[in-house]
Amino acid sequence: MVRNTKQSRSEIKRRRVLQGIGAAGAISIAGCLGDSDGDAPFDIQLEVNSDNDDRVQMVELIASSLEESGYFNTEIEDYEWNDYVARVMDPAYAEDGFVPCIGLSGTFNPESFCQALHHSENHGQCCNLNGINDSELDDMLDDARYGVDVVEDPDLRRERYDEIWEYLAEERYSSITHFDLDAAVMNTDVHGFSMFPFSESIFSYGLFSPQDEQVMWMDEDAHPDDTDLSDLQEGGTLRIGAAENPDSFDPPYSTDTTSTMAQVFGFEQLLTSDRDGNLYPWLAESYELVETQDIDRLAYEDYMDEVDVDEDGLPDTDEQIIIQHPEDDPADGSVRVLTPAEAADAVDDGVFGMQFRYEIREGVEFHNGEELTAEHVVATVERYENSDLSAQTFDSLLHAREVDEYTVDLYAQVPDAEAERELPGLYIHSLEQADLEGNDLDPREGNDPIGTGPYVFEEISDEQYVEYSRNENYWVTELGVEQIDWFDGPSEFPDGPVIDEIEVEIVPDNSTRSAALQSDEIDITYGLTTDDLDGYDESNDYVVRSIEAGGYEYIQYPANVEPWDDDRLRRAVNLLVPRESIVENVLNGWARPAWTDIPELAEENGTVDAAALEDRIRPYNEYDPERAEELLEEVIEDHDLD
Amino acid sequence: MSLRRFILKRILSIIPILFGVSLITFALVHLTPGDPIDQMVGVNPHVTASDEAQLRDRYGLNRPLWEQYGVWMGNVLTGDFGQVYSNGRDVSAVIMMRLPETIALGIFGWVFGLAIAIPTGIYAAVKKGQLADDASRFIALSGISIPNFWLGLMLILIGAVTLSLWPVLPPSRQPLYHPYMLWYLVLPGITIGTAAAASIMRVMRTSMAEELNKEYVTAARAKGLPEQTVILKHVLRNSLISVVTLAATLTASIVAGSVVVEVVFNWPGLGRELINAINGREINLIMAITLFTGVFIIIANLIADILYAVLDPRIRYD
Amino acid sequence: MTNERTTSTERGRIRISGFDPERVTEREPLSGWTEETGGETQSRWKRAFTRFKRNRTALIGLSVVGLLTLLTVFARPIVIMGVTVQPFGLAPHDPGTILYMQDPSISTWDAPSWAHPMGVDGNGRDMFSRVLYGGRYSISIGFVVVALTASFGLIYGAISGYYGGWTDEIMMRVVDTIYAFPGLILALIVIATLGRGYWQLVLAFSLFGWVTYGRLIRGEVLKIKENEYVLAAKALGARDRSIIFRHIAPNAMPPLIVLASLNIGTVVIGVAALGFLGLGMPPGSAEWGTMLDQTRDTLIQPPGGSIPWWATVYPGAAIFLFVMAMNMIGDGINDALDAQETGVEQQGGG
Repeated sequence: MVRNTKQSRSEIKRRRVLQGIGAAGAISIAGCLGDSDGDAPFDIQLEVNSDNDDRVQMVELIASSLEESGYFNTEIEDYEWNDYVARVMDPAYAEDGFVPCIGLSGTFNPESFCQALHHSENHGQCCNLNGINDSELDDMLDDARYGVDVVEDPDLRRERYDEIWEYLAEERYSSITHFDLDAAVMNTDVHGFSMFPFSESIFSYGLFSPQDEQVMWMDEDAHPDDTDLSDLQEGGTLRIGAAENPDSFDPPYSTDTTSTMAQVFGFEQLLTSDRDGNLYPWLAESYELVETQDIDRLAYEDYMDEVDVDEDGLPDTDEQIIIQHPEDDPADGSVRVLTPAEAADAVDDGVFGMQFRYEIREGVEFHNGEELTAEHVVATVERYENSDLSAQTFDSLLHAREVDEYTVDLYAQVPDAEAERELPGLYIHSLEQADLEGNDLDPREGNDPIGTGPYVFEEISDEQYVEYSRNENYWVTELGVEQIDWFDGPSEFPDGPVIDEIEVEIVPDNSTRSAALQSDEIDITYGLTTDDLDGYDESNDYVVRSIEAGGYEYIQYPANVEPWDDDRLRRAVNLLVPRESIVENVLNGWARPAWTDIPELAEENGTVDAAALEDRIRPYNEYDPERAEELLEEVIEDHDLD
Repeated sequence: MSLRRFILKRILSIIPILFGVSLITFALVHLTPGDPIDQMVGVNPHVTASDEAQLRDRYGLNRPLWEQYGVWMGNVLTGDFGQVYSNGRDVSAVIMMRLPETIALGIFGWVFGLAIAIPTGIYAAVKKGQLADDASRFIALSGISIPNFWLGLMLILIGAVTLSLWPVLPPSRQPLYHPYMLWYLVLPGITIGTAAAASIMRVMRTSMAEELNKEYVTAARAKGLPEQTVILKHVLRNSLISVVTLAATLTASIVAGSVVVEVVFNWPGLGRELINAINGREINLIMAITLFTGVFIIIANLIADILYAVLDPRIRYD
Repeated sequence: MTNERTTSTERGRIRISGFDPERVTEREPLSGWTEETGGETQSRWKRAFTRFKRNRTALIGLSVVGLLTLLTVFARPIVIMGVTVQPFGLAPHDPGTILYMQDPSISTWDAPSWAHPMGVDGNGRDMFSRVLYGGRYSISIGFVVVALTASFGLIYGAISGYYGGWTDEIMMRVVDTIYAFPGLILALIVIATLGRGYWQLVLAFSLFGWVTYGRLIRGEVLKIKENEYVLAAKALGARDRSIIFRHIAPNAMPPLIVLASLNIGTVVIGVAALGFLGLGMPPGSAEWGTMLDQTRDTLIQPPGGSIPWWATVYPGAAIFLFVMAMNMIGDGINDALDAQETGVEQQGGG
């Protein structure tokens, strides 16, 4: 497991890194009524949000390392999270010359580890904070995802990503420091649990996922190490310690992981994914790519309407904007946009990038008794329009169309290598709730969530607990798991989740959650401090399961501001980022240093050969003060600094 | 002046104070120059552009400050505190949900404070100048000096973690009056009540000591009444009145203490809600809780004054 | 003293005859403080000083506060605008130094040892240095806030009490209004609006902290201004300002000093409480409350874990020690000056 790798690796290397740093004099860090000497050639201001202790600690460590080199005066500024986000997302921030540190959560899509950080279109949004604007890189990023060639040839796509990683290693606009290990800790009553890389789904995945033959059960009389599927027991209650209050039960109107976690017990999608990112038909019985057309977004020009823009430069319309004409400038007072009705016209005329057809399973029943049909899918897509998730939904999705009662087509705007995964990423609503106003799909608004999922919402006491009970009419149970054509697991694998009740206790404080686990008030929790994880791991009374997740942290250099426009300076700072020490000392080994920019979960689509890639790129990212010094001397000479 | 007229006058006198409290609440949020919507709400990720526009509209942010205050006050007087941005719920509903929890905690703090303070205060006064008096003075001083949150952490450490006598989590599914719930409240109650207990004890001791020097006590003793009767029947009654005065002042300290204690003990009351509101930049919630706290304390003071007037026949009214 | 005088200080409140809890104190019969001797400030201060010197508790408090203040001043060198004002460094490390960067044998949460008498914190920093240095924030904020609030409160109360009438009425309404809020909550909101930081904390506690002084001084002034010597000065045509500052203010000092000495402790606890709530100094700074906030998680350990008690006990004990010592001094001054029991019950709530 990941965990063991960590232990064997870190022991040796930690020593080496620390020797590399060597002995040094005093350092000073901002926030301590500073006594900075101010004689180093470079000033660097690192910025961080104050409410993430580990991140603050990591930035302090990077600052220490930079100070120690003797070339940098460092300052650390910290901000409260909301202030921080507003600050770094401001397009003008890129001109200030600061080095922000922030964490992101990536997906199976390799793009989430490069495009989000570096594509110029993400400047002012998440998360090209310092306005990296490299048209060559932009094109490389676009070409790795869009276009018939990469759609049809996954290997070509992998090669293109390899080029991106190497390009980034030379340019080093940002330094990704490490990839998170997500860990869940549970008592020994919990059997059969294993982790999923995305924290919002770990419980719904763990409870029942035939794609990985994954099922959980409760058993007080045995140790999880000694049981297997043949010891499975039905019934019981799983008490989960959640780190936050679910702010919303309305899938398209929530963006935080805890809300999604609370929703996915009851809501499902057309497809499901295994731990490695492979897709399986779920509410759809099968699906296929019907057609791909080699077009770009300009092909929709004839269907677009001209609308005025408001004072913020945003199109002034109540309709969902599916595509805004890429060549129009809001400064001119109006832009051409494609809205849902016109997208339908385009599809009528056969103008679309890709067409996927989903055959919906018959007999799938919602918690309120409705039967799932194509109409539900179309209604769901409509509810995602102008929602909090509309941007990420309609960056790819063009249109949804009912073909017959159990067949639905989803169209992508352009040929898109991620369309297969991203188009059906919708939580299917019941018709009863498909017309609700945004945020109204919430028990606190009088609407208990209704989905097709294995658990039915029972009760919520805000900020205290949420309860679910097993869906007695769950479609997999009715159908029998053996009837799912791709399922090839053992015969004792159950036809649905076996745990009867789920209680989610909301306990924001990490240490309180840890205490609650030890006083047997909850069975399983996550997000404990890395300080605590080792103790649980060593104890016989608890089990820790971890997985390399999509989360990562990075600092980004202000490449538009002198002297940071010099790639040698950026590379030199990167060489002074003590990745090994960050993982070992700040995160207690519960993370993996980012030797390349791509974590395990995106390797499938993002590189031809992960090991070879690491061999090539790792030297750029290893802690190496000597090489850094050489680069810095060059920069100093060229810029006449002293 | 009759008692009734005094009470009436006293009630009327809080009107300008209530007005002032609302003014301060409003002013605090407008402390920094510029538009508070930009200052605070602008960085709340849950606030959409339309929310912002609505807020500007609601408070008339381009109008002069006093006019904005008028608009806000008008809304508040009709019971409209606005909404929580993150989930769109009514602020007043949130307050009503959290209030009972905080009151329960406050009452517990009070009960604990009085139960410890009064007997100790009497004992110290009776044994004035002796070792027991010194010890109790020292303990009282410690009680005032110890930071609430640190005490809370220590109690969790000892009571809940080491001795396992208490659950670490508040028993969420029980009504507030359930015995299990009451048992849970002991630790936060002690934490919140300690500073109050120490203060009450000091006042109790000094006022007892003062009473004991009075002539009527000497007379009673001279009559040969047992010491116990003298103390419990005469002295105590008179000294308790001073405790009532202190009560109002201490209500403020308990309300303030509840913020920290609720955070330490994960108690879902108004104090924790205030901290969450500050971290989430929920401007409506911050204003409402602040206003509510002020009004609550004014009313507590009013009740204490009236109680005092009713209890002590020696009072002359203004 | 007479009832009329006592009660008239409690303007607008209940008047009590024969008994006033706020004035109760163990008054030694030898106490010289009556209105007859009120003018003889010099001898009175001297007497108080003699009495204070005999109070062992207060002296212990004084030496603790003195020692803590010295330690924190000499913890690390102080450089102002490039000039080294204070060259000594008692603390072995800079409070921000991450020790494991230089010495790999040190790891986070190392227990107290000779090299690190208070252990190492979760970031690999020397706790002893941090606790010593941390006093700079708490103690200096405490003194600065009290100096500001006491001065303003003195002026405010003196004006209000001296002029009386409508001025007094309005000024006291303002005080009543601020009194309706617990100080900690007001400070929280101020920090929420202005952001964290040293001067923000000072402002947060000063902005409303003066009301206690204002009310107290006003009461004292009402008492004093009826005195013959004030009336005489007035009759001789002395100006208001000179009456207030030359005659009234000095005589109102004793209760003010008592309240101030007790108030420093309250402010220090308040600063620590805000730090603990994450609304004090930036994280990572060595402020005592902020340090406690950061080590809070460690109180609850995983099975087999041992609590790094030093991380919680020492900063907490430092706050406690300082506040306790401050309160001991306050009590001592109170006894010595024979002022009334004031202040210490007022706020709290940290």
